[in-house]
Amino acid sequence: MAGDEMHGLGRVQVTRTARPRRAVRPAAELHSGRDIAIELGRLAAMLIVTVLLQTVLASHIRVLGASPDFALLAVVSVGLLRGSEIGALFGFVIGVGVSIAVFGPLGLSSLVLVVIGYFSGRYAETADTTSGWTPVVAVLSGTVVALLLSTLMQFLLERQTPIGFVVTRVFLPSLLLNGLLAAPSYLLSRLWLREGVSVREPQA
Amino acid sequence: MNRRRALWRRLLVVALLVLSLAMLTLYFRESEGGPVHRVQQAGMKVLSPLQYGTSRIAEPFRDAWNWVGDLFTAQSENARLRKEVAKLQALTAQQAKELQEYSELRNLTDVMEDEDKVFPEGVEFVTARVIARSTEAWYSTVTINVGSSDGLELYDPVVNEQRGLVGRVTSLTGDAAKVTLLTDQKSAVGAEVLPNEARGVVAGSMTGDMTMDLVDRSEKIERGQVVVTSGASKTLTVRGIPIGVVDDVGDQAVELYQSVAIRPLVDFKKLEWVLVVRQ
Repeated sequence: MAGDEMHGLGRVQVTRTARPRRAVRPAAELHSGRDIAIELGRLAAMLIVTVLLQTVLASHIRVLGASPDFALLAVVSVGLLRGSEIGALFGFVIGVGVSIAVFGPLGLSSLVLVVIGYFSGRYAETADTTSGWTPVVAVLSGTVVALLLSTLMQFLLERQTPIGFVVTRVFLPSLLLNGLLAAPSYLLSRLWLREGVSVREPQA
Repeated sequence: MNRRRALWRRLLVVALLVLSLAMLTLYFRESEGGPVHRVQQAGMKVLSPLQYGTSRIAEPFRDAWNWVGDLFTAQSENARLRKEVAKLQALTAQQAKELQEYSELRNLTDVMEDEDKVFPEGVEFVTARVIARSTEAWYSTVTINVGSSDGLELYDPVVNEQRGLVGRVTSLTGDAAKVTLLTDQKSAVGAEVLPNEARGVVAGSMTGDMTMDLVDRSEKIERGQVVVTSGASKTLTVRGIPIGVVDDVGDQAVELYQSVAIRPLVDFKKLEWVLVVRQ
């Protein structure tokens, strides 16, 4: 723990002098039944709003041919704020929700979003995530992984995957859009989920 | 404690991944009435009213966004349309010289404008609102707010207000339906080019382009000709629904068939209301 504090000392000091950080709620606080119910309610509301945004609005917001991936943004945020287990579970449920809402193949989106939620959570649990760039890095990495997995799955499902088109009209615009929306979506999620419980694993 | 936690975490992720793969496998192996499809249909019953409500609420914002988008593309669109008009004028002048072709084109216009000639007697239309659409590049599908309780059946054709073919119903619940658009890469519709009635299959692609394949090489096809449904299919029996106009004709001497690029009559990005044709 001491080593951990030393590791991020410079950054923590600067943050504290410039703007006092809100106290992070200890994980134990969530162990009461009421807190768990509130937490589940917040996550469920976030899930429904995200599914509706993704299926009703996202297709209308087209920049360079790509649409923002609100589902991925939400899963990354939850992973970063609540850790790998909740991140993976949230990814699974939101994937099922999106597939139901657009009559898509059930299981395809959840497969991708479970991976994204899990690794976002692991990132928050194992790395120093105090930097403002954390959500951007996590969303960009998540977008790359999601697109690679989706392309692979579509190829296996015998759908066309023209590489040039996928790179220029899907990969690059999606990276740009999701990267731009990463910080706002993370901040909104953090506000909605009332800051964060500490997901960082104690160092050995 | 940490080791047990790590083990539990890994087990959870593996279980979720296995569950996703199992659902995916079942989804593709089972019929439309299978358990996974039934779960999806039950979920859709809950979600479709929410989607409809959200769609209504978001309409002004969507219109504002579209207006801004149109503003940005207006200049390039203007230049492109000017070029297109010049080309079309040349084409029209050429066509006007031939009386036969002129009268055939006039007949075509009549067919497109007169819905009684396009759709057989007794055909009914069900008006539907687009409430959701897939954002993945691999799928071109929309969800509409009418379903089997409104009389819809699988493979019913869907047209827009100008009677241009939008796609076909490929999944149904009581209150909602999935429409696979013509631009979807798995979409294939029997079609013919008018007036010479050259037949082929119009297929979509991931890029959003539409082509008419399997057209006999002996058929002389030219840019600007109208493409309509042939009706020669078990699942789409209505003949003459307009699909688009010929944009380009592939000229590969080594191939058995011609491939014709089609410019659709429908703007698939701005679908708000559609009509389902009950066959």
